[in-house]
Amino acid sequence: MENFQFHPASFRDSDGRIFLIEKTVYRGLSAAYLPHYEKLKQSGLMDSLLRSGKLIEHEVVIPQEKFPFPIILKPQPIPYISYPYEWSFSQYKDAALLTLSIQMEALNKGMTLKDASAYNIQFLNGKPVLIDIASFETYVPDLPWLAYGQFCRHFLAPLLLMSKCNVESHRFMQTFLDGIPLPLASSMLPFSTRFSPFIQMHIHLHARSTKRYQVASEGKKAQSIKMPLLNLKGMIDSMQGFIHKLTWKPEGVWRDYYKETQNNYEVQAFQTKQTLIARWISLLNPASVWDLGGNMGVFSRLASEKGVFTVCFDIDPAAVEMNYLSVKAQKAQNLLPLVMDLTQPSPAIGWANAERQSMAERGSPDIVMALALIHHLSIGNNLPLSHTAAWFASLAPFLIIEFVPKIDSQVQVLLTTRKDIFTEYTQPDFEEVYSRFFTLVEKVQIPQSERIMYLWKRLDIV
Amino acid sequence: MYPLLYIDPGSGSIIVQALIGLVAGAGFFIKLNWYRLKGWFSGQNQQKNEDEKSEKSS
Repeated sequence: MENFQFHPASFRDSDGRIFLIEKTVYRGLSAAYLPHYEKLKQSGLMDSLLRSGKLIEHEVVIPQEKFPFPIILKPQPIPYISYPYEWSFSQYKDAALLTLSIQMEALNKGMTLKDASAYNIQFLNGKPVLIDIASFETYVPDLPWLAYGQFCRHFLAPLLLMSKCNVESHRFMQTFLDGIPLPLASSMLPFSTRFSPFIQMHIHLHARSTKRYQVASEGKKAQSIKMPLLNLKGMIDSMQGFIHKLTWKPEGVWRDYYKETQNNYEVQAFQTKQTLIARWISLLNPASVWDLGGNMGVFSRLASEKGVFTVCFDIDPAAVEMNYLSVKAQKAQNLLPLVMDLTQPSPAIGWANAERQSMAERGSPDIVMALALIHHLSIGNNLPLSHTAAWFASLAPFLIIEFVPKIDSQVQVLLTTRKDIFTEYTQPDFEEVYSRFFTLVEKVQIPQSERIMYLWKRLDIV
Repeated sequence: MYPLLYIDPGSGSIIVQALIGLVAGAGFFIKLNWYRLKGWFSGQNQQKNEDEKSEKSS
């Protein structure tokens, strides 16, 4: 029982709780859940979901006497936990389709999903996977899908808003912890969606219905409603078909970045940068890398293709979308693209601000890369150099950073319509300020460009 | 009565999905049996055509 602690997000469902011993994650199943767990194994559902990679792998651990659970599972570790408000459109869509396909498979084997939380889905080696083994219950004949409302709030409403209104609508998930309220989604969707029978029923009518039947006495009436299995499967099947066809076409600011910056990045310069970063990564031999402002992940792949787990954060949903689609197409391992506004990284939210962790709390990379990023933070967001240096130093012991001087055309674009108040944004100032937090390991001027690459080591690292 | 869960299924959500299920269930039944239905209809038509053909030839 030494250092036993429940995960701060694992308090809702007593059937299967997550706890940690040291830094290892375990899931304890309650005695009440055991019949469902047995059914999961005996029906062949668990084997089938494990074979297809839809359910996270786990090993059964022999519980010590002191543990409050009859069965303890040790799931395969997730290198970086991500949240729905950080997923690109296709990541969100794949997570929704995975949930529905698991529900269909469960129904075929006499089980059902008792919850449909987007937080139960994580990305592992470019694919979504269900992490909550205690989500399954034995199917009771003619019982409606009790997690249907949750599925609509967690998946359908955000996806429709992303597709029909604005792709950044997934950010609402950060404000509404149990999914986007349907009356809100209904009020935001374009009027034309009322003519789609699917959206009319699942969102607009559903929203009116949730408002109308809030009273407990009405709740009792609803409990007498039966839903034959055929109708339930029909509903799941039609939702799969509809979500499969949902689209969003990326039109991001950075989409053509690598093409447009040919003047600064002649082919040779680009290759120099790649060779240099690859050499530094080999030199440091990290376990994990965070590529901040990593765009479509060109430089992230220098790490991930060496087997180093890499998270590629970018503010542009289009760049993250394209990165994810290419990860999927290439079946790339070790690379997780996520949408992140670095000027306000995902905060800790939920109960006691501890349920969903902040961006930084969820991992500790060995290297942080900030390539062609500093001018966006310093000039685009007025951040003093000391602020950025302190934040990078708090994240990782090593920093690979590209300094983009003021004469660079990309910086000039940022200054076109603003007063240049950034007198301290110079290379000597940059080196002086960053030296307060780091020791310089190596500095390389990129040929045919004004930009300079730095490898810094944090002061406390020997 | 439903088995009570740790989440509230929401009465509104149950009523709406029961309605949706009526339509979707019918659609799903047709989808599952589409080839059988198609085969049944085309089989009938084929039979009819063959009957017509045999009538003409006789």
